[in-house]
Amino acid sequence: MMDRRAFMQKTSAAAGALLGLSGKALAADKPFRIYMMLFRGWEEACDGFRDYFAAREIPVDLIVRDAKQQRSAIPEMVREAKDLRPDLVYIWGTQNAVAALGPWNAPDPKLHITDLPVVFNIVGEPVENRIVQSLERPGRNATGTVYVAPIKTQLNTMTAYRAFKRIGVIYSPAESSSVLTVKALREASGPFGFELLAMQAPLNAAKALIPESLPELAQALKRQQTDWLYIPTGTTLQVNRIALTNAALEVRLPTFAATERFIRFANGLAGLVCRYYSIGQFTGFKAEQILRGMKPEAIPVQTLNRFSFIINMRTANTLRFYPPLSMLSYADTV
Amino acid sequence: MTTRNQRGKLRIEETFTFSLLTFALIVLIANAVVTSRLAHNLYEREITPEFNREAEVVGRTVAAQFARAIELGIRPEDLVGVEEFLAPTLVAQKRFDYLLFADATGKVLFGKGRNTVLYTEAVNQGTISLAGPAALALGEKRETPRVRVFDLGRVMNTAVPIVVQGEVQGWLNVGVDRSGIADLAVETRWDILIILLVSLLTAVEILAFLTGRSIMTPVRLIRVMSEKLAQGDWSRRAAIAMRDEAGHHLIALNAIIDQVNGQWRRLRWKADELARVNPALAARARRVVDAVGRDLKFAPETAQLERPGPIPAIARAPLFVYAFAEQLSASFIPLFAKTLQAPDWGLSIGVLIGLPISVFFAVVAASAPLGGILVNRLGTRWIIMLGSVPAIIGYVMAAQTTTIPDFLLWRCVTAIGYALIAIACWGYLASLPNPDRRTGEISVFIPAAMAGAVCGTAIGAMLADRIGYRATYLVSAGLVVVAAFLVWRYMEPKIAAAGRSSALRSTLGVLRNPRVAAIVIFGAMPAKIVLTGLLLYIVPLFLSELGAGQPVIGRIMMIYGLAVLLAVHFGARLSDRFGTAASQITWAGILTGLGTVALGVMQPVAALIVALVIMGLCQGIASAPMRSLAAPLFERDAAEKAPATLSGVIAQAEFVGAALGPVIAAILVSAFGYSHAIIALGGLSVATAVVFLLIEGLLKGPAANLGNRQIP
Repeated sequence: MMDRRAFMQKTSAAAGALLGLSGKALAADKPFRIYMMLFRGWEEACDGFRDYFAAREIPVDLIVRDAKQQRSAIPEMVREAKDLRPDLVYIWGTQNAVAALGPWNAPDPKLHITDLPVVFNIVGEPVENRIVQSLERPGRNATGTVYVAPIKTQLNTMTAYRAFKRIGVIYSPAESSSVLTVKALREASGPFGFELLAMQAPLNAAKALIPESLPELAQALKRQQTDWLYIPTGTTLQVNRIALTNAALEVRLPTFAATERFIRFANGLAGLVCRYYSIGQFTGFKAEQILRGMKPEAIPVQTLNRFSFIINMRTANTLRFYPPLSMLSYADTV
Repeated sequence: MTTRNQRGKLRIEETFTFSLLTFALIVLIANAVVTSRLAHNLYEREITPEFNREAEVVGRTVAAQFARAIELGIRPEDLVGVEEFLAPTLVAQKRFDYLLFADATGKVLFGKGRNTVLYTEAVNQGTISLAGPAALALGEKRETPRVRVFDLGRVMNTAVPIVVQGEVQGWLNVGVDRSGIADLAVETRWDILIILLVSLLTAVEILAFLTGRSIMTPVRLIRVMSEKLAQGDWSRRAAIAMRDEAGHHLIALNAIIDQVNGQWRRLRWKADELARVNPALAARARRVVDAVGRDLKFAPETAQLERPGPIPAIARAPLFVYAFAEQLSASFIPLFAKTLQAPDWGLSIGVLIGLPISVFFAVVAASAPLGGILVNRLGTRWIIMLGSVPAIIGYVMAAQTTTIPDFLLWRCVTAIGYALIAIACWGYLASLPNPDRRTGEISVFIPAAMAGAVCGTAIGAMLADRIGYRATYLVSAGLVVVAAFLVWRYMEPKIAAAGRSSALRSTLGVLRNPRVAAIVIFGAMPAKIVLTGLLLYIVPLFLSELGAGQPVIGRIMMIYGLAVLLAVHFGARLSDRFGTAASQITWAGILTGLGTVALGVMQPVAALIVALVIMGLCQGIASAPMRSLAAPLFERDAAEKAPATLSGVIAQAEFVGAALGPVIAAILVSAFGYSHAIIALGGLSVATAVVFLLIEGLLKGPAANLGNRQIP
């Protein structure tokens, strides 16, 4: 798959790497072409990705396509990508990744992208979803980043905030990332010593959440003396974040989220998250490695080392439910 | 035996020195008292604001966190986890009694610590008033109130305002224990007193040295010369070293001597000339001249020089400094050893950290014979300076050691140096004429060494507390350099030291006498075992475990040294006057043992002090009698050599005991713990004293009074 231009770029990349030059000297003639497959539109993670190349002065040509939360749109995007033969494919989101890449050990060349390098972003549980073999060795032509803190670390943070005996989860059974998270929580409940109440939200015909059902679910959890409502990753929940967090707030149920939007752009209480923007930049770094000629198989899937502990003070004040004074010293308040 | 005349002259010298030193002491003590008082008051005035400043700085940092929380919208009473937040600060700041978070009126919302009731009471009584605009200071604005300090008697309360958006939302109160301030002042006063005491002792030593050198030496020389002239010996002239008044006197004397010798030579020449002219008259002249020559003694061609001869005082200052240098580390050797890497020798850590003390004494004991031979060969001054070199090297290398075996090596090196120095000093003293020797030994050797030890222990502890163990070793090295300089500059070049022939043979010869063996094995050795085991090994470790700081350890160890200093002279006088040498040794052993019983009944620190005082007094009282008891047993043998050998043998035994002490103590401690180990050592002391008494009783027979040196 090495054509003349790729060869030229590779040697100049190597030379540039030796001399520590910036990307500007690399792309001697044309900018890199990156085909971006989005699921629910352009957001902060994509901002981070794009700004990374600007900061590195690497000219890129971004071809952006959005599935608009329609799974049916994905095969079309896959075909277009294969036709265009870009230098790199950027896949946003778990659903996109699962549909466009297939399992790592048995992809279907007709349905899935098998011969183009891929970098994925904002994908939950890539190993459980069988997108890669392991985080250290992807085992295929795709690599990317993990954007969620390990479940144990999240539970520790929740305990430090306020010890709990019972955690509730509201999720969509159709959302694989949520389902995997619930499974992980169940596995942790024994060692951590808490009880998990997982409630499947009713879905409509289009397999989407019904926002009106959320208050009732929240009430049910509160009646059963749930200490925290845990909000897992998943597009369905993201899209209904305001309804979900409001429902919890109404019944005075503290919420702990795995991603920042529930806290920053809704009424969730707290979470141990990484900034989407930062993870987008990190994905850009992985992309640059591929563009410089490294094989995705050789690039590990990684996460950022530091997560932010963020608290929504409005929610905290409404609930009058505060973290210990020592936690405040390292919390990001929004 | 000293003649009355000689003794009279001695007393004048002694009286002069004594008066001078007494006067100096009085002046220094008065100075000490006044300065110490002043310093203490000043200290309290200065230290209190410092304490408050510390409270303010820490208080502000803590308060900032509260301010942030309140700024985020949290109401003060809704704060969570406040006690856990305050706890680490209280642990880190040992002087803080409490941290209290109060609302804007001063009412306590959350808090942690002790004596918090003092705050609540003070608020109720109005002593602390934080609410409202009361008492704004000059320049203080309502929006930026200042920190307020309240004196609650036992506690100083510093109130730091928590200001959010221009309004006081609460107060963080830091309570500092007043007694902490008082404690610090007391500590410092102790330190000042110790320094003054050490200055006193050092000044005394310097004075003694200077008077010895500048006054006593020429005075003695004048006396010797005058005596010679009075007896008709004109054959020697004075060796003059100084250009002061005494020097002028000696120059005048020399002039007279030269003149007389010159006239004598002219007289003889004239007689010879007469022989040529008139033989008959010449024979008569010859008879007259010869008669004169028989009664009086004149110099042949050139007169021989009379030198001042060794003065004990010359050895005093260097000895003081050497002892000072070595004892700097006495208060912390096992503690320092604890911080080093331990080797894998199969010994317990307790024994390992006692080894640095043991090897020092063992090496000194082993090197003594070598030292004796070298002193014979090369003379005192050179040997002392030679010994200074390994001493310095040992200290400098000890300062940078990191493992116990390495430390042991450098202690051995230092010990070799000290062995040479000690033997040389002994040789110096041994070369004195007989009556001076005993007086010299007691009034120079022991006091100078003990004074140096006392000063060194105390100062070393304070130094170690401030600059660390390693730097203190470097100071030791520096002091040895000073001492070596003193020796180089002021000691006479070559003193023919008393011969110490094959030390081993004479040692065994000495021990063949069972009474001497009894003194050595059941008197001298156990005393040193208890000394090094208790004082050098157990005391620093035990006190450190009880939480005492390094300066306190040094002070308590110093008490022992002071007790010995007090008792030594007394002990010598006592045994001289009443011949109670044997019972002194016995009672010393028994009382030392009884002293340790205090550890079973009193608080450990107080008990230690009691035990050490008693041990010091006892060992001081017993020290001279040990030698005087054995000395007469030797006057049968070669009188000149024996006393030096005897002292040497006793000293050897003492060093062996000193080497065993820490090891025995370590074993006792690991078996019984500190308190009981001390009592066990006391038991050892009592047991050996009783054995000694029995042997003495059995062997003494009906004979008499050893005090006046009758041979039994």
